[in-house]
Amino acid sequence: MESSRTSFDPQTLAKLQGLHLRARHIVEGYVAGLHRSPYHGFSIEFAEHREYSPGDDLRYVDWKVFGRTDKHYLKQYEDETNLLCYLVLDTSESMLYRGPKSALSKAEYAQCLAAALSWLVLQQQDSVGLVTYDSQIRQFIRPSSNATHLQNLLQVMEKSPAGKKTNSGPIFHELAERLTRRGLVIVLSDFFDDVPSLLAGLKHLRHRRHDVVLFHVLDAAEIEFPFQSPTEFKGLEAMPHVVADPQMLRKAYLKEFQAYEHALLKGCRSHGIEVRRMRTDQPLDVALTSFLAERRIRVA
Amino acid sequence: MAHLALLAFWHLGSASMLLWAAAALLPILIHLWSRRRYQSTDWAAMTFLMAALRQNARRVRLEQWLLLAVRTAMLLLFALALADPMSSVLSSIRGAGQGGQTHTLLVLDGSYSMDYRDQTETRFERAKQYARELVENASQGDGFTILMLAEPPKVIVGQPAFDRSDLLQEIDALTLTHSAADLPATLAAAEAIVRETDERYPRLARRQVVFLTDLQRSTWEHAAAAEGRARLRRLAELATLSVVDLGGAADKNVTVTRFESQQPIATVGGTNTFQVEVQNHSAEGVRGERVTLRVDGQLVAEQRVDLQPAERATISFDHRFDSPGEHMVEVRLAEDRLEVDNHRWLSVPVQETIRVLCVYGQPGETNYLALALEPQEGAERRVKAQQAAESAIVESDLENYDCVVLSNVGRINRDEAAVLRRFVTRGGGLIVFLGDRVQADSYNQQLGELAGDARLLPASLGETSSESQYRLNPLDYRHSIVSPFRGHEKSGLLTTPIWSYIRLQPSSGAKVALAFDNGDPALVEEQIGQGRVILFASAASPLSVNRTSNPPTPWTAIASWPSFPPLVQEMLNLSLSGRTAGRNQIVGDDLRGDVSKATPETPVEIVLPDGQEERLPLVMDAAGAHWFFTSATQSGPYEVKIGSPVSTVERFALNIDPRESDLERLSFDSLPPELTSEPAKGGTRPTSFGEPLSRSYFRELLLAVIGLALVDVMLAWRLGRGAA
Repeated sequence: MESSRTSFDPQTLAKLQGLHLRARHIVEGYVAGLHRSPYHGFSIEFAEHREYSPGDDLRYVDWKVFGRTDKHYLKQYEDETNLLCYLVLDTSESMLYRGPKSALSKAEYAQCLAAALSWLVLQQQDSVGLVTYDSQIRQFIRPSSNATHLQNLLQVMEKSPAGKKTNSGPIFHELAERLTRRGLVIVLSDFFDDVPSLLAGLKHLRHRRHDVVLFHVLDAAEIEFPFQSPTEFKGLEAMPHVVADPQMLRKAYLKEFQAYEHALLKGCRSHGIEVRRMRTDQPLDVALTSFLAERRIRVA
Repeated sequence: MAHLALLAFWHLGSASMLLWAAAALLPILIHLWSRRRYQSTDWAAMTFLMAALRQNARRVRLEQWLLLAVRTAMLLLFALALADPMSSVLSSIRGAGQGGQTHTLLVLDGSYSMDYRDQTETRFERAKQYARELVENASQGDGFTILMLAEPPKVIVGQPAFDRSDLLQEIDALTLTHSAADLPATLAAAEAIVRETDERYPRLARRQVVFLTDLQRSTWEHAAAAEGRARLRRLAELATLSVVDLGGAADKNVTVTRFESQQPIATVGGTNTFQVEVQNHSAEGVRGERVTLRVDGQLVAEQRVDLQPAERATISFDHRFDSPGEHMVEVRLAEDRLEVDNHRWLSVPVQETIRVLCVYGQPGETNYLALALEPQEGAERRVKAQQAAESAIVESDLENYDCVVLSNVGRINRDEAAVLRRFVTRGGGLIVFLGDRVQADSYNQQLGELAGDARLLPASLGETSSESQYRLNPLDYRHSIVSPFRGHEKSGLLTTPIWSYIRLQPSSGAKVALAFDNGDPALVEEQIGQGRVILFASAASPLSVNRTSNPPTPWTAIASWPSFPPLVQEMLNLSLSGRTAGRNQIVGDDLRGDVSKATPETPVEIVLPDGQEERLPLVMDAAGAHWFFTSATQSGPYEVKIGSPVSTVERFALNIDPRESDLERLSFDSLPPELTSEPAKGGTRPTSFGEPLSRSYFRELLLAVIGLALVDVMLAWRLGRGAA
């Protein structure tokens, strides 16, 4: 449970206490409060009144209060969304890489991130599910908002064995078929895969009207390629071993990497998929806070 | 320039430096080593790395080889630059190879003949001016060393100097010595300087030695001799040799070549005779040359002398000193163009009397001796002889005497020998007469050859001769003791009756003044330390007798013979020569003195002829306290002041070597062919001396190395280092 304690580092969680995850799009079910829900008839729980201000929707004016007080008050409701959040975690071998200046491997970093997100989602009474995969789906845990569900998720994350190769495209196609209820799909991976195939899978998810967010987990060394002396690079996921002088290849490597990243971003943007680069040398709480703050602004 | 390169001979200034070329293997070894040595890491983003490799593999390999080639070439060129490649260009294209850096050794003739004033300036001043022009017109990077042709040679700048202002200061500060010139020693010093510079400064590819001299015969005749030629040949193998002739015809030069006192010790009231020898070195005769004698700066006598060309004349001055003490006597000629040899000085310590201690083996032995030493009576007496038993040797303070005479003293013990040795080595005179009491073994043990370094006697004592009638042989009156008897054969010297004597075996440095008619030495003398010891083989009194005969026969009757007083007086004069010998020296000799009763704090100062004062260190050793002055370069009177508790003043005279006064020149044609002549007039510096000319490529190669280093940096930057 060492990783669990790390994931629930009190300092990290304290910084997230005042934040609420907001659904960017209208998902299945309805959301009271700040956003209009397209689905009526779901139960809502009254919370308080607040004074009307220009621009407010007149449908929420409490006319009974108006009759008694001759003042316009709006009825405020507790958000009680049935947001479904699917955390899709890459457990392939490439996620085991940890650079010379990083404290966590990409897999460890992604687990922390998933755990924190799970905790947050469950904190606001929403449902969260978990999918782990490498060349195929290894674990599929259906969404639940039960408070005890968190322990279940964490155990699965920690015990996920590292697979050999990634095969994201078909995985996402399969997920698109299996995730029947619309929700927020958060994929945590390095996405070192065939980009067109990957994008096709993601497109399928979007086609199923899921809100898709990619957490692109990368090590600083993969981004900057800082090696100086001649190095033997042992390829993960059944890639060959290569001995090279990094100084002479640095520019070419960075060019290749940036081209890949550009293609991934461009493809995702065209399908309305948000991509967030997560460097494993960045503090986890900073990364999460930044993400959640932006999500709140977008939703608001 | 291509055709010039074909005519050039390539050689290396420091071929051994090529060994550094092995360092060029370093980049290759490092490259191979680094290929075998790498770190290892897992890598996830292999797709991009392999794509980068596929695209850049050829370029990377090419750049790696290029970098390796640049680094290897850089080290090879650096080793080549250290080896200092040079091209020697044939003389037909002299000047084409100019540009190499030059080491010039300036050899300035510092002998006093260079003080000859031609017009308004002396030859030495012209030499300095010429040296200045050489330095001022030198190319950037040229190095200069400076050597003074003198006796001994004087190294002014021994390591190449490159700063012009420093060099000009050194040249301006040069002063002429009043010494002669030692060309062989100077050539040896020049060779040492050139060799050392060649080893330490290989970039000074051209080497030249420039002699600035008046080509005086007395100096340069050594160059024409076999040894001089060999030295010049060796020097010419290292450098080009040039002579700048600063001499010329000398119109007049009269010189004082000798100035002596006839009396070894001057006494108050006694007549002192000074002999002056003057020589005319001119091609024309001189009439009425004025010769003056000055005592303590006061003119006391004057004579005029006529001199034919090359004639040498001797004149005498008599002078009586009225007071005891240190006196400086100067003889001076009229001024001419070479002023330095118109003077000569003599330091004359004047005593009340000459003090002699006569030590006898038995009373009465020295009566005749005392009479012979002290023939005058009353105020006129010059010598004061004191008779004493042999115990006086250790009981008396011998510092109070000028001479000690031993007469038939039987044995000499160790303490007596030590006291006598100390007395003699400090300049005292010792005269030894033998006799029937003398134990030869004791003399040989304490004073003779068996004493080793402490030897005092000029001969070993053997057995006593058989009794016979012996006569003295004056040996052609060659020795100064007997030379006054020349022409006075009836003075009794040849008939002096001697029946017994002790056979003497002279040491290697001794001189035999008199012999017996059988060839055995009779009178032997030798300089020991600063003093002189005279040994007579027989007795000085009739008290020495041969007791084996009946009745006993005396050893000799010399004491009552008419030759005895003058012989004893001559022996005394010679024995005293050491008392003032150190007072009158030649420039280049060291001045030294012993100080009695001095403490380590006793101050000693020397006043130079130009009035400057210098403090001298006092050296204390087992023999006592001494001072030394080894850097005298000027002729003239020197005064040594010894402070409390001694509180005395001693005067010394340093005179020039008269050989240098002969201004006869050696023609340049008689000099060895290794020497080339350069014009002395015209004011412009010769652009080059000698041939062949060689050019060094050190600078170009070094620039190429720097260029390659820049290329290396740029390549490294391009290959990723610069961006990192």
